[in-house]
Amino acid sequence: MNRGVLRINNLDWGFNGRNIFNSVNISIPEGSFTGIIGPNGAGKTTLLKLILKLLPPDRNSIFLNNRDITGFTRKDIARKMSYVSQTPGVDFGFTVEQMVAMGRNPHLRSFSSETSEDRAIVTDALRDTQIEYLSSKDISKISGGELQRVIIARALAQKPAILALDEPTNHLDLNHQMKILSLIRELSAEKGITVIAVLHDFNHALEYCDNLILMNGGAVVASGLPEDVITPDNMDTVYHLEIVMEKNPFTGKPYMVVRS
Amino acid sequence: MEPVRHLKIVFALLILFLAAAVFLSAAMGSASIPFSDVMRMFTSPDKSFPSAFRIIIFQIRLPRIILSVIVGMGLAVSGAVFQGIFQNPMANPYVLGVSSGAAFGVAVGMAMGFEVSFLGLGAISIAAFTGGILTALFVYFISGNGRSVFSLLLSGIAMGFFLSALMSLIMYLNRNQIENIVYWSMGSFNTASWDKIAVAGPVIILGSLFLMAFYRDLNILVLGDDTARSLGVSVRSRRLLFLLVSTVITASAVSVSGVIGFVGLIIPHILRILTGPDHKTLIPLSMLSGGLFLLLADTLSRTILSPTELPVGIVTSLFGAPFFIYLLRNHRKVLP
Repeated sequence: MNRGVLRINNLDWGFNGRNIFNSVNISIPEGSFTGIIGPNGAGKTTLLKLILKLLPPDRNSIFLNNRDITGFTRKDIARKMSYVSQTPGVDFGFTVEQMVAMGRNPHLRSFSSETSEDRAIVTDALRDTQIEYLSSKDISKISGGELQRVIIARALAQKPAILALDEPTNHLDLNHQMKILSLIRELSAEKGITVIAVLHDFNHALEYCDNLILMNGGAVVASGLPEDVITPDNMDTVYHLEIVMEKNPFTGKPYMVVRS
Repeated sequence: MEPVRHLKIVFALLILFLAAAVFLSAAMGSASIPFSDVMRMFTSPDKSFPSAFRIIIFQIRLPRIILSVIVGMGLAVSGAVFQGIFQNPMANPYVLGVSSGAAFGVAVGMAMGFEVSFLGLGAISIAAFTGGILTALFVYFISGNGRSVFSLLLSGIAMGFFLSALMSLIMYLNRNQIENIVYWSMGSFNTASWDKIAVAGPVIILGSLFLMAFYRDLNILVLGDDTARSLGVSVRSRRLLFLLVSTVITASAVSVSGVIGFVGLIIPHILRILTGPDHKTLIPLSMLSGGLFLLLADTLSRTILSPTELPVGIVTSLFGAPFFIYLLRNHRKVLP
């Protein structure tokens, strides 16, 4: 197995005197689609924020391409990793194209302007997320599914090696949830981008992810192939739920059914 | 309302209006000078005009016109930047206590009868600038070094109330200075001079152009701290830089004109609605519109009750406040 484009090594981390993570170890293989699942308060969003240095990790705990991320500047990080957060704001009145073009910021120096190459990358990002037709629309006047594509397009314009998403399907209807996840999987496969996504729906996790990490109370309970992580034992331990694994008749992938 | 997309036309129109307003304003006033003479005085170096006309135009009206344009530019630009940084349409250039600090400085200066001058500026300008900057710095530090914009906003408001109380106390104890202090705090250009332009002009114009050069960071800051960081912006250091530059701009404006309200609130607000939130255009458009608005307001303030004149702050508030209420009722969501 690959040494991992992103490694988390004995991560201990706390906030305001409260301990959140105790010796967490994670290795994310390059080009994979890795899902993070776990109950509320498990530390999933906090973990993403530490990886992106939105919260300050300790030295020698998180490594990107075997380099300690505490040595990276904000721009270094933003050139390698992009972030689709849980609550994208919507009321700013920027156009879709302006919003996506902001993804080029980490590659531009202050006082310099965008080159034709930057513009081409923005056009590609709009095309890859199928929102070219929206480019001059006001972002406060588009639907939730369209907005999520705009945020993903902005993240792609950063030309990241790693794309981190926090519940990318939040607030979307089922049809748009599937479309967004399919889009992310395609982008990952086509461009070799490593995807790390916090997900809530186990069947989506089983369907779309190459690897899963199950977290609970700031610790990794299980990690590996989706069907090895979402097991009746693990679901009982973490969620106190009784489940049965079935086979999705459409895709042949494992499918989870919960006893109500 | 859909933002206007033909921005080049908007820029051209504003420049045209501003130029026209400068000429018109130069021709208006208690001494009536024919408009054609004003045009000829500007275009030819011919000395054949009566020297009184030349003095009125070049030593009295023109400095006043230029200073009002520059102050309008500064207030509108710092308003635009504050609104973006605070993600709040109610934020204005005085939000860090610059106006109350400056007014307090002036009250102290007048009560104690300061008589110093520096770079051609009088004691009052110096007291206003110092009071404004010191208050803004103090507000920044008591709010935990700008850790959250919300605490900055509240600290600024609290500080404003405190300094207003102290200012009232000073006025109460120095009743002979009440009129001067009150008049100053209503804002006026009747002491405009080329010296004031030479000091405040470069600070305001260079400061505005500096902020404009950072338009990308300003746009990204509007999206919130985490998003801005994930797009490579060092949020706290950038925010401090922009707060500092816009506060210096505001304090320079206040020091040469007194406290003039609503320009910094209303101009960027209208522009956001009409032409969108992109700081690349918002800042230069704020400069032009703020300059034009304050020039028109000042021209009105010195002509409407001629030969006496109104403090310009009264005019801007009289026109600004109702228009602002109209805007709020019709376009609620301009900023989050």
